[in-house]
Amino acid sequence: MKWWLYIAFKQLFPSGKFASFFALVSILGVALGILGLYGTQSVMNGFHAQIGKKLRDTTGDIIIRDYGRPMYNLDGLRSKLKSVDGIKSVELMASGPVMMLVRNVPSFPLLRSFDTLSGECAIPIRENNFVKMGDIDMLDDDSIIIGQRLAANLGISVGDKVEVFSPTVLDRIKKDEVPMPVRLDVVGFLATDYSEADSSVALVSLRRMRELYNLGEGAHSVILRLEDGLDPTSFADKIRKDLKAKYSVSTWLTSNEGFLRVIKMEKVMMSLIIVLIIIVASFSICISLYTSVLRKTREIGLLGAMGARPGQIALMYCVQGFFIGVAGSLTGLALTWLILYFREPIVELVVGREALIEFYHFARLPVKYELGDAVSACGFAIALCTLAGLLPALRAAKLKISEAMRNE
Amino acid sequence: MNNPTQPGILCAKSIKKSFRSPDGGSVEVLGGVDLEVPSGHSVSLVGESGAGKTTLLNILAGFELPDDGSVLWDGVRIDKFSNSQQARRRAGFMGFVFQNYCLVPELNAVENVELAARIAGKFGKSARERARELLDAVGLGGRMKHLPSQLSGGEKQRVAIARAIMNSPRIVLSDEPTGNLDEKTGESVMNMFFKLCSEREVALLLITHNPDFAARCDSTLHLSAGKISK
Repeated sequence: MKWWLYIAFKQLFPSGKFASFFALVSILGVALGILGLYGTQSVMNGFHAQIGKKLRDTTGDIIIRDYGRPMYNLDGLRSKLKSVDGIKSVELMASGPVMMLVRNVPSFPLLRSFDTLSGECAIPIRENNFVKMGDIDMLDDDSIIIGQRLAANLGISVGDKVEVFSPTVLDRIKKDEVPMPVRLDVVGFLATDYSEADSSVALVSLRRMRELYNLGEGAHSVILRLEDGLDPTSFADKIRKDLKAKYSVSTWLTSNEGFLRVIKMEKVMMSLIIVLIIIVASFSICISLYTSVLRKTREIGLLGAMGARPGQIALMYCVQGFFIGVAGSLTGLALTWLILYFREPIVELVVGREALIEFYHFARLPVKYELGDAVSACGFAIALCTLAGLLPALRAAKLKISEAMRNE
Repeated sequence: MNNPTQPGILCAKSIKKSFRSPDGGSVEVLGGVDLEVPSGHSVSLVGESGAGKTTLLNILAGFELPDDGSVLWDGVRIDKFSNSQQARRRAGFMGFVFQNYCLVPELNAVENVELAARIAGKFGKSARERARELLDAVGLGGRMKHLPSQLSGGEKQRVAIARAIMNSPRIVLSDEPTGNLDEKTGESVMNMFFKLCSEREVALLLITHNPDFAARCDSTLHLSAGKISK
């Protein structure tokens, strides 16, 4: 081992001691910075991934519409899409708001169809076991599956009856007809763990939905689910070309673009603010190392007398900054993993689980570790700490041996 | 100039050095000093405080440049070397013992001694072994793992002496090695120092105020008014 590396290491971790006070405090400072930065980034990544998954799971990968108009004669389109490699399922979907009366209390959920005849669905209701207290197979033309949180808010139980009025009743009122509600039996609850869906969506059969919206054999949209791992954006481009602008084609990413961008922006802004912790830590490392140079002036002079070159003396201090950066980064990563591993009780203690569900629509705090974030956070911290050692290093390298040895 | 019987390994020829005084004038410290330390000999340098002994040592060691004159290490003018070459050469050619010991506080006794070998790029198992032997030789065999803060002044200076000898230098330059020690401890340290240098045929240039230690050297030089006299 080079002597300057050896002395640098020994000044941080002296013989007979675990570590010097300076090293411990500096490493802890950097570690807290990394914990703040990487921890925040991981949680934000988790939010992004989880929200993305929930959006995809509740909306499907690709949505084909006729620019807001109902779509008819879809058999040809359906069979054409079914023959395309990579498409897992093609679902004709009708959806729209309705008024629902439960014990004379009105609510306005978004009704979504489920094709009970073909069973084909672009959202993974069966795979993800989205229906609780019942089964999707129990859904027929006279029944409804209601979002779990919506049901809880309205005090609905399985077996209750609800009355549904569709917007088409307005036409009947205009014709002086008495609008009659459709009475449906509640046969289960929809529980996707995405609060937005669970508190505002209800499922009915496609045939019932067509009847409520006077769609005949039509639908509002065609929803596609792709095989896992396929990029919906490029797939949508391909379909768009094939359909020659007859229909509008969007993906779950473009449909929720603004929302997803806000989450990304939040991550960047929070990272920028938390980076300040690492900068403050590096300033304190710089001050401590500079003080060390002033305190050890005679020792530095002696090293020079024994044959140490100025560049090596400079390296000795730069390497200390580097060591602190590396040790602080590794400790910070370990702390991040440890704290995020035990995040549930921490969240429960600090904000409460209900707040998480209410504001972020998640039952658990999501976390996603990304190697790129870890590398960039640690790289930044190590570079900054090494730079922090540079000023003291230059001061040490510039010391003249004779003056250093005379230092009082 | 000395009158050596062997060729000088450290020579100074017509060394002149002045410093600027705070009032802008110039103070001449060395006014043409000639000096020669023969191989294996001990030479003491005495003089009043402020006579320029330490300045001369700094110039001889290459820490400072003279205004005029030249310094030769083993017959080679040191101004021929770049700073980096000079540092490399110094590591194997010279050892130093200072009044303030200058031990690295984070290293224990044996690590402080072997540091000299590390800087000279000679570190290995044999260096560790030699550091142990030297500490044994200075009577610190039982204190190898002690940190400087756990050693007395005399013990610290013994570690510094072992470190100065570590690379088998041709000469050791020593500036007031007993300045911080009481009389008895200083006597004991110097006994050991003279013995080590003589056994290993290492030349010694000793700056001291102690006439007894000066008298034990092979020759004594007086520095006064910027000139050397015997």
